Amino acid sequence: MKIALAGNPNSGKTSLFNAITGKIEHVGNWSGVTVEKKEGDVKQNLNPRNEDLVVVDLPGAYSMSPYTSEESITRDFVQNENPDVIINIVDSTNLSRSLFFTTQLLELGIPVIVALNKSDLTDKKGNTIDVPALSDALKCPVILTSATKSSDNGLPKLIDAVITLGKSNKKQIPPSIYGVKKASTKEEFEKADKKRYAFVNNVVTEVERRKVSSEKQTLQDKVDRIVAHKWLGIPIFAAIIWLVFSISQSWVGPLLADIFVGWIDVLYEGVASLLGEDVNPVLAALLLDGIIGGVGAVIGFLPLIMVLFFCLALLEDSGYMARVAIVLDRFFKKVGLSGRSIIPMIVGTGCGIPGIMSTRTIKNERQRRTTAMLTPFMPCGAKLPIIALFAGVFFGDNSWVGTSMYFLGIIVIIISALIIRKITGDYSKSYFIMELPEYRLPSLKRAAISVLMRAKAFIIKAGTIILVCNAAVQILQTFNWQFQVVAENAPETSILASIASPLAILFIPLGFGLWQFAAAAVTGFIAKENVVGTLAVCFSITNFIDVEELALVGGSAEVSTIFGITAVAGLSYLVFNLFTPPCFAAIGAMNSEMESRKWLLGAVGFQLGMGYTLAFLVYQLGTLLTTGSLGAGFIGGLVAVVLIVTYVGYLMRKGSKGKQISAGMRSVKV
Amino acid sequence: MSTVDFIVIVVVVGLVALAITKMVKDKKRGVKCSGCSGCSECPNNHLQ
Repeated sequence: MKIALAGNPNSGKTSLFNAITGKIEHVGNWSGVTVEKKEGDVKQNLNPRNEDLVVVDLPGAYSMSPYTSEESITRDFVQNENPDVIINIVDSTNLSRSLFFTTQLLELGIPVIVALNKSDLTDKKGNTIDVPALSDALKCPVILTSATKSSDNGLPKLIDAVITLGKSNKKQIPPSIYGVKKASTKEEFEKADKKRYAFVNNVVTEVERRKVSSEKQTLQDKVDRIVAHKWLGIPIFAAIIWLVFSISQSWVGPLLADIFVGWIDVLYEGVASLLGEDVNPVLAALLLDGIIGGVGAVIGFLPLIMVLFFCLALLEDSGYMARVAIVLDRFFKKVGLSGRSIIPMIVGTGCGIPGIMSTRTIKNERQRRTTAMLTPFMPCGAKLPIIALFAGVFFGDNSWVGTSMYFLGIIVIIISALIIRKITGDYSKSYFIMELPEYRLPSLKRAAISVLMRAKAFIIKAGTIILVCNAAVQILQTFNWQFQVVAENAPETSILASIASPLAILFIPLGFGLWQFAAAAVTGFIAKENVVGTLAVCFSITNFIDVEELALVGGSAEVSTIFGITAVAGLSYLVFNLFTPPCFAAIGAMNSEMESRKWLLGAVGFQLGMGYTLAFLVYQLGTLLTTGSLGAGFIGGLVAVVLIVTYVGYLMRKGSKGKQISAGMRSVKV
Repeated sequence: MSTVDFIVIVVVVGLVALAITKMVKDKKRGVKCSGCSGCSECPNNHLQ
C-alpha cells in the first residue's frame, strides 16, 4: 500500500515521516526543508500485522497548482503515481491556511486522512478543534497527532485508520459545496479557489475556538520585534554567530578535541612502535605521516565541527534561523535576490551540496542560478578545519576569525549578486513571504542525531577520499620523476613540488608562493578538508592539535615558522580557499541545478576571480598596514586583478546596454 | 624487503583499495560524494 504524506510547508510532514518510519531525515523548524520526495516503510511497532506499507514524504505545497518546482513534485506524485491513501498533514495551529490544500486533495478521488498535527501546541494555546465536526465537514477521517512526541502521539490510531481506509477501496467523496469539478480557464480556477476559501472559512468558524485574539501581542511577537528588527537583528545575529564559534573553537571544542586527539596519538605511537627500526623509512612515512598523520590531522578537528553544528542545529530547531532570513531579506532584495536565497545559504553552512540543491525552490531562473553560484561562498563544514587551523596557527584560536569569515561570506554574496544582476541585465524583482515558525525549545535529541549523522559522514570522507589523496600526496612528494627517493634537503625536486611550483608563482602576490600551499589548494578542489591534510603531509606535521595546552593548534608559533608565511599571508590563504570554487562534488551539484554550461563556466570563473582578488587585497593591504610597505609581487598581482576587474566591468556594461536596448525596443513598440 | 615492509605494503594497499572500493560503490549508488558533513539534510543522502 502506497501512502503519500502531503501538506503545507512546515506542517510537520518530515517529523511525521521520521516518527512513522523510524528514519532520521533532516527536520527544520521552517518551511522548504524537503525538496525531493523520500520513501520509507512503516515501523514494525506501528504495523504489527506486517502489512506492506510504503510511506512517501513529499515536499510542502500550498496548492495543487504548481508555483515552485518542489510543489510540482508533490502535484505530479499525487496525480500520476496513484497512492492508495493520502495522509494530509494539517498544522492544527493554523487551520484556516492549511485546509485550502486539503479541499484540493479531497477532489482527487483518492482516500484522504487528515492528520491534525501539532495538536499539543494547539492545547498549549488553549485553542480547541471539534474533530468529529471537522471530519463530517470534510467527509474524511480526522486524527489528532503530535509527531514530535514519543508517546501518546496519535500515530498508532493514524496507521490503523490508513490500513482500514486503504483496504476498503472506497473512492474519496469531495465535500459537495462548491461544485467545481474541472476548471480549465484562469477565470474558472479563480472562481473555484474563491469557493474553496469560502468553504474553508465556514468550516473553521464552525469547528475552531481560539482562546487568544490575533490582535493581542504574544511573547513571540515581542521577541520578534527585537531579533527580527531591521537594525537590531544584524548585531544580534553577529553576536550569536560569534558565540557559536567561541563555544566550538575556544571553549568546548578544544576540551573534546583533547580526548579525541589523544586517541589518534595513541594509534600513531602504537603503529610506530610496532613497525620498529627495521622498516623501510619510505614505507613508514607513507603509513605514519601520509595516512595516519594526514587523515588524523583532518579528523582531529571533528570535535569542534560537531560542537559547531550542534549549536547551529539548536538555533535552527528553535526557529531563529527563519528570523535571520527575514533580517537579511532587505539586503538581498536590493541586489536582485530575496530571503528565499538565504535558506540555501544557511543549509550550505553544513555542506554546499544540499545548499545548492535546495536552490530549486527558487522559481526565478536568474535568482536560482545566482544563488547556486553564490551558496559555496558560505563556509561549509569542510572549510571549518581550514578556518580552525589558520585561526589557531596565526591568531591564537580567536573566534573572530570564524565569525568574520561567516560575515565576509554574506558581504561577498551581496556584492557578487549585485555584479551578476548587472551582467545578466535582469532587474526583475521577487517578493519573499515566509511564515515565521513558532519559537520552540530546541530538541537536544534532534540536534544530537543531526550531529552524529554529520560526524559519521565526516569520518567516511576522511577514510575514503582524504585517505587516498594523502597517500597520493605522500608518494608524490617522496619521489622525483626518475622514481628515486628525493634527498631530505631537496624536497623541491619531488614530483609534487615540480607540479605545484608553476602554480605557486601565481600565488606570490597573495603571500603564499610556496609549492606546498599551491599543492594543498589544488587537492582542496577534490575535498576542502584535503587542504589541512596536504599541509600536514607536506610540512610533516603529524598533529595540529595540542593535547597539553588545550589549544586547537599546539605550538602555533612553531607551526607558523614551519609554514614560513606571515599572519597576513595566512589570512590571505584562508580567504583564497574559502572564496575560490568549491570541491568538484559541489561544482557537479551547481551544474545540475544551473542547467546551463555557460552559467557553470561563468560561475567557476567568477569564483576563481573573486577568491584571487580578495586574497590579493587581504595580503597587500594587510602587509601595508602591518609593515608600512607592499607585499611581494604587488605589480604582477595588480595587473592580474585589474584584468579581472576590467573584464567583469565590461560584462556589466554589456549587460546594462542589453537592458537599455530591450527597454528602447519596448518603448518603440508602445 | 623485510617481512615488516611487506606487511606495511599490504596494509597501505589494503586501506587504499578499501577506500577506492567504497567510493566506486557509492558512485554506482548515485552518491555524489563519499560522505559530506551535510549529508543528513541532503536529498541525495544514501548513507542511512
